This record gives sequence, C-alpha cells and structure tokens, in this order.
Amino acid sequence: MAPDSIVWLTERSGALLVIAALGTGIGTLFSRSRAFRAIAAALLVGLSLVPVGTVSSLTFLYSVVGPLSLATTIGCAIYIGSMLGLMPGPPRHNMLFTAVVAAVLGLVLYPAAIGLLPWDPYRMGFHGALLPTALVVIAVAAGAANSIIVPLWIAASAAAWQSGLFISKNLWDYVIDPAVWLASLVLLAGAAVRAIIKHPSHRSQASAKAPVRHEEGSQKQHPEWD
Amino acid sequence: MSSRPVAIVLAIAATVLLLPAVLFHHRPPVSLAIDPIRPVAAQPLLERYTVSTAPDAGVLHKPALVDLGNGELLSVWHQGSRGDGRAVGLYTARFTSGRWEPEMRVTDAAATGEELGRYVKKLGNAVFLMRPQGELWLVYVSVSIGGWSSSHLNLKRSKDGGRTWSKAERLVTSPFFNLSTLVKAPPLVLMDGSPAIPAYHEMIAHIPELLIFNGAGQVTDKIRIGAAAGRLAIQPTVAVLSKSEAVALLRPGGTTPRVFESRSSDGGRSWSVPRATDLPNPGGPVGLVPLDSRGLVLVFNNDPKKEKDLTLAVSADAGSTWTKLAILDQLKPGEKGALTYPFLTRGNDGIYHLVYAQFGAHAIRHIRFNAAWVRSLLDEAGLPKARDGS
Repeated sequence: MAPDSIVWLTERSGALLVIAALGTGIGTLFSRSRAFRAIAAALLVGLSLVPVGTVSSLTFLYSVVGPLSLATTIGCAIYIGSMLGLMPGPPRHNMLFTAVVAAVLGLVLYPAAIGLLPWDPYRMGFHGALLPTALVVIAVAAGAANSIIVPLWIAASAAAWQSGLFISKNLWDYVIDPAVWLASLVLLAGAAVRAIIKHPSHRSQASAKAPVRHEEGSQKQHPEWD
Repeated sequence: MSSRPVAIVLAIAATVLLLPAVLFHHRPPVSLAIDPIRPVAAQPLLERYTVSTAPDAGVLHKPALVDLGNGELLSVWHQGSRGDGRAVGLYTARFTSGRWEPEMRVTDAAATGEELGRYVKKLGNAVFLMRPQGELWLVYVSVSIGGWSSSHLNLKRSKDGGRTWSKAERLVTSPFFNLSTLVKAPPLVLMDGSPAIPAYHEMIAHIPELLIFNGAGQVTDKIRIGAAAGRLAIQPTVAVLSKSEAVALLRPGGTTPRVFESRSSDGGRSWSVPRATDLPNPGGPVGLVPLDSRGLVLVFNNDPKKEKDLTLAVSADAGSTWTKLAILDQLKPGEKGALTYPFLTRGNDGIYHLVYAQFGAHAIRHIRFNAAWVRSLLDEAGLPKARDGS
C-alpha cells in the first residue's frame, strides 16, 4: 500500500489533468501559440482551485468522477505534452488502436457491471487470472503491432495497481474509467464519420477537382489533435 | 511514438507486472459462517423502548443496531431537516443498564465531505460492523450529485465502542464512477473471518449484492445475489442456516408488491435469481434472522400498500412457508405515519433486537424479545416448536 498522502495525490491527478487538458484545448481554439495554450491550461487549473460556495470546481469534479484511471491520466498527459510541444503527437493509427482497446474494454465492463447483463465482469478485477491474462495479451499484441501507448497504459495501470496508488483494490479501476471509455467511443465515431466523408463515393465534384492532400509529409505539427 | 523496441519493452514490463496476478490468483472460495445459536433464558422476554424522539426533526429514519459485546447496544439512524439534505446527520444512542442514553451526532454531509476532500450533498443508510478485535465500523451511504441511485459508501472506525470516530474513508464498490452502492441490512462473516455486508445497486438496474471486505476495511470482492439483470430486488437481508445454505429476503425492485427471496446452496458463492414470495411488501425492507438450523424469524410490513404494522413471522422450513405469530407494532386507526425500515439482529446473548422508524411520531423504536417468547407464541398457536439449538 502506498502512503496516504501519495494515494490522496494520485486519486486527484486524473481530475486535475482533465481540467488542464480542457484548458489546453480551449487555448488551442484561440491560438496556435504554445505559450498561450500553456497559459490557458494554467489559468483553468488555477480557477478550478478557487472555491465556489463550499468547494472548488476541482473538488466537485473529483467528487463526481472520483479517481480516474491511468488511461485518462496518460491520455491527458500525452495530449497536453503534444499540444504544448513538449513531445511529438502520437501517430493516428496508434491513437485509433488505443481507442479501440479502450472501447472494447469499456463495452465488456460497463453495461454488464451496471446490471444490464446477468453477470458482473467487475469481479474479474478483484481476483482471478482472466483479466490480467487478457491485459497481458493486449499489451503483447500492441507491442508487436508497434504501438507504444497501449503497453505503456497497461504497464502503468498494473504498476499502480500493484503499488495500491488508489483506494480501490480492483484492477479495472486502474485500467479504465467511464470518461475515457466515452471519449474513445467519440474518437472512433469521429474517425468513422471522417472515413465515410473521405470515401471516394462521397466526394463532391468540387472536391474531386481539388484533390485532398495526404497527411504524410504535411507540415502541420500535430495533425491528430488540431 | 512508434518505436518498436520501446513498445516491446513496455509490453514486457506490463507482462512482468501482471504475471503475479496471473500465476497466484487463487483465493479460498467465499463461504458464509453460521452465527452460532446461543443459549437463551427460559423465561419469555418482550420489552419495548424508544431509542429517540425528535418532534422537530423532519426526518428520523433508517435505524440500525449492533451488540457491542459488553452488555451495551449501539443504534445509529438518520435525522435532520427533510428539505435540506446537508442538515441531515447520522446520530447514535447507547443502550446500557436497561435504558437508552441521549443521542450523539456522529457526522453529517458537510463533515463527511470535509473529511473525504469531496463534495457531499446528503447522507443515507448506515450499518455497524463489529470486528473481532473490538474495532467498530460504521458503513454509510452518501450522495454527491443526483439521488440515492448515485450513492457511494463510506467507512468510519471507532476503537471505543462508538464514542469517538475516525475520519470518513471512501469505499470503492463500482466501476461506473464508483456510483450506486447502498447498504441496509446487518453484516455477515465469512468462514475465514472476512466481513461481508449485504448491499444493493440501484442505478438503471436494481441488483442485490454481497460486499466482501478485508481486515483493513477495503472491498475485496462483490457477489451478485442472483445472476440476473434488470430491476429485480434491493435491500437484501441474509440469514445463514448451515455451512452451505443461506436465504436472502429482499425488497422488490420493481412494482410487484411482494417480498422477494433468493437462496444459496454453496455458502454464498452463488445465488438463485430473486423471485416473489407470497409475503406482501409495500416497498420497504424486512428483518430476517435465523432461529435455528432450519428456522427463521422475520419482521415485515404485512400489507401490500402501506407500512401500517410490523408483523412477526417464523418459518420452520428455511423460509419455504411462514407462520404469522404476532403484530409487534401497528398504527392506531386513523393515525398518520408509517412503521418503517425494520432492522432485526440477534445479540451475543441470543436476544433478538428490532429497531424501526415511526414516521408521524418522529421516533426510533426498539423491541427486544427472545426465542422463549417466540416459542410461547408457537405454543399458543398450537404450532410445532422451532428448535432453538440450546
């Protein structure tokens, strides 16, 4: 078990990173300047710490969503890092692969766990070999497929679970949360819509006259996030 | 972000970190322990008390009780203003030397929120759990947003029999933002000493559950009472009859005004899908305690629409059939209010304790009786005696 102060901090890190990512995203809407984005993120984090009534908005968000999983933590960290130019943005296939894994894991867990199916997959996170084995298989398959994010996510989740960085004893709570599941579904839906629009049969005559340039070789620094 | 060596190193790291869980996952199967039948006094006992009254309180509700093992009882309930959830607190009172002492406020939404570092809107049901080393746990419901279906569970500990309490700790019971787990009924113990609390989930579906804890107070397993989905039943109360057999009676989760029942024949590892019994239920919990290896004592509202009485029934065949023996309390004709939320438990001395809320009178009531009194009722009714094991 990690010390209480560490657990206190790690439990809140997800909500804090979501607010920072939101600030970075808002900054991106208004400027391409990294400094501006960083200021926007810092401003929103600062505002979230100001009490409104009896609690701050960070505390309120944490009260509602609780500790968020390593998937959210890593996802937000990569987003903020790449938008602020601290690291390269992840390749599109890497992101989509990660979103598919998160979407499938969430689909296995949530509908059944809230009672829509007559079995409870949440129990697998308390004990048994099935969930750890499935995660090992996913991590190895992702590594073989040259994906960094998925094995990083699973390794970090496993390390946090083994160290008891959250209050929960359940492996699922370290791997995934509803926020990242819903985000992955939105990301995949967006990718599907984009793929349909880009399909030759859907291109208008006008766009056919002005062919779409491939992203490969594009000078945009972060094609996926922008 | 697409370097193969890095990806492979990370995959190996994930494998190494998860390998112990894959290889050493075996745990002894869950097995509920039988609460031993204690010798009881030969003389029938039936006594009535008022735990607390608060005419000015809008809410005085959801009582529970524990035998502290030193001749004292401790009751907890939910009291405050009906319109302001933040003003509702958990109160306790102590039964000692044959009387209930004045109540003490344990916590409220604001205090629990401050201790947890979270926003808490209101508090709900609470139950006690006595640990073998003398530590007393108070497990209670809180809500941050929405209604009872978005509840969380919290834990407080006391090392002095409920006189002082530790800071609140959050329990993690559900993967969906840890929402929607509530408690109502007395706890149980597993054969290995681990505590278990009957609980329920009521967001979208209504699912009865059994929460298993470790000695440190963390939730380490969760068993569904009935492998089913949808709006089944809530507020399970469980009686363990033998090493393998246990029965749960439940409040309906849907519109069927009947007490529901689920059974386990493997020590609590698996449960039958809850089904309606012939017993009526107006939409509230029931109290259930073993009488002997096949016998059960039940306290319930014997009406499909209104909580106007509390009836005592016994079963000599593990709950297959019930005999109504006595009305323990009932509203007077024309009296407004309700007799609600019965909580039935058996003390270390074998005496049964019933606490319940009386709406209208703004009171928490306590009735204690023993098996000799139950047997005397069986004699009067000309029914076969339940075996008390003594």
